[in-house]
Amino acid sequence: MNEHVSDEQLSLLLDSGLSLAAREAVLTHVRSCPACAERHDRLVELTATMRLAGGLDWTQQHTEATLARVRSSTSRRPQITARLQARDWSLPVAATLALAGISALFLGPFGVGNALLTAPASASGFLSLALPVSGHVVLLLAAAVALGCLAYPLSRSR
Amino acid sequence: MVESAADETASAALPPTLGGVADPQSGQLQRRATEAGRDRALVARALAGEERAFAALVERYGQPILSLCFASTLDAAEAEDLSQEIFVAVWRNLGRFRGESSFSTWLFALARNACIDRSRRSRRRPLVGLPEHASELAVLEPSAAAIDAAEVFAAARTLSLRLRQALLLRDVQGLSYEEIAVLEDIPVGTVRSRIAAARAALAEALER
Repeated sequence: MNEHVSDEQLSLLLDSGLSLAAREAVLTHVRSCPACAERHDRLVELTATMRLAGGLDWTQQHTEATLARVRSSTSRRPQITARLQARDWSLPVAATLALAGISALFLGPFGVGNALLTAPASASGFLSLALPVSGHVVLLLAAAVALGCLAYPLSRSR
Repeated sequence: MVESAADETASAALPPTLGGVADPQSGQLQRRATEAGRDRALVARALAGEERAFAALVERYGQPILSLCFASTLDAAEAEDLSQEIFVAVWRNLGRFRGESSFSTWLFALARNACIDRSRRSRRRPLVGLPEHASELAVLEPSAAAIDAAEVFAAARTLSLRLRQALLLRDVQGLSYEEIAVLEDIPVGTVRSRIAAARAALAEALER
């Protein structure tokens, strides 16, 4: 090997990451080349210094401190998120029940809706806001809301 | 062209903390799948409100996360704080883990982003003290460490985050190339080049 060894080759030499043949070739060059020998020695010194410094170890205290921080910062947050993520049928069921209730109110034999279905809302006392809508529109709106609620869990399905 | 044995060792067994690397020959693939399944079960139990399941995840992944944080911040206290912050974020976002990747992949990505954010923020602050044990080392081990450890860490701060992480994960935290590749989600070859570049840059910086 006549060329100088690359940084990567020197680095792999330190980490025993070279094949035997490659290691021999690099070492032969390093022994005969003062420039590469100096680079090699410098890297050996550098890595030894860092390895002696040592790193951090995860201990049981770390786990406990982490759990304490989790408890104090976000109690039971994931459950809420999970509930939102899951296919949720409670909303459409509630909407369907509400729609059934409204229908019964409007369409039952003695329901107050009979008057609303046949007269503009403004004419009835039921819708005291005197909106210019009829009972039909109210029912249509309720149906649209119910359909939207039914579509909600389907849109969340993955 | 010099051959590298690192490729041959790319499939070497990893400690359970990192979840292992796929290697059909040694059954690593199967082990990894088992571990991914176990993680998924722990996540499901944690989502159901079982704190012990989340504690098991913290216990399991605490070390690689702390290593990454220390390699990013070079400060023990800050690394501990950041690793706790990461697990709080994991807890908050656990519901968003869809299981499309393994839990470790998702967790490490979250940790890497947190390290990048912290690094950006700390760049705006003036550099403060070096790791305590680095300056102690310079006193305790003068012969073994001819270069002052404090100097080395100071020089390491000048490296880019990517190079610094790779170098410190290897030389300070003692992770293998394969473990770093899993943690950083990069090929082993990239780990090799980053470590080599970091060492060369560090040596150059210390010569000045």
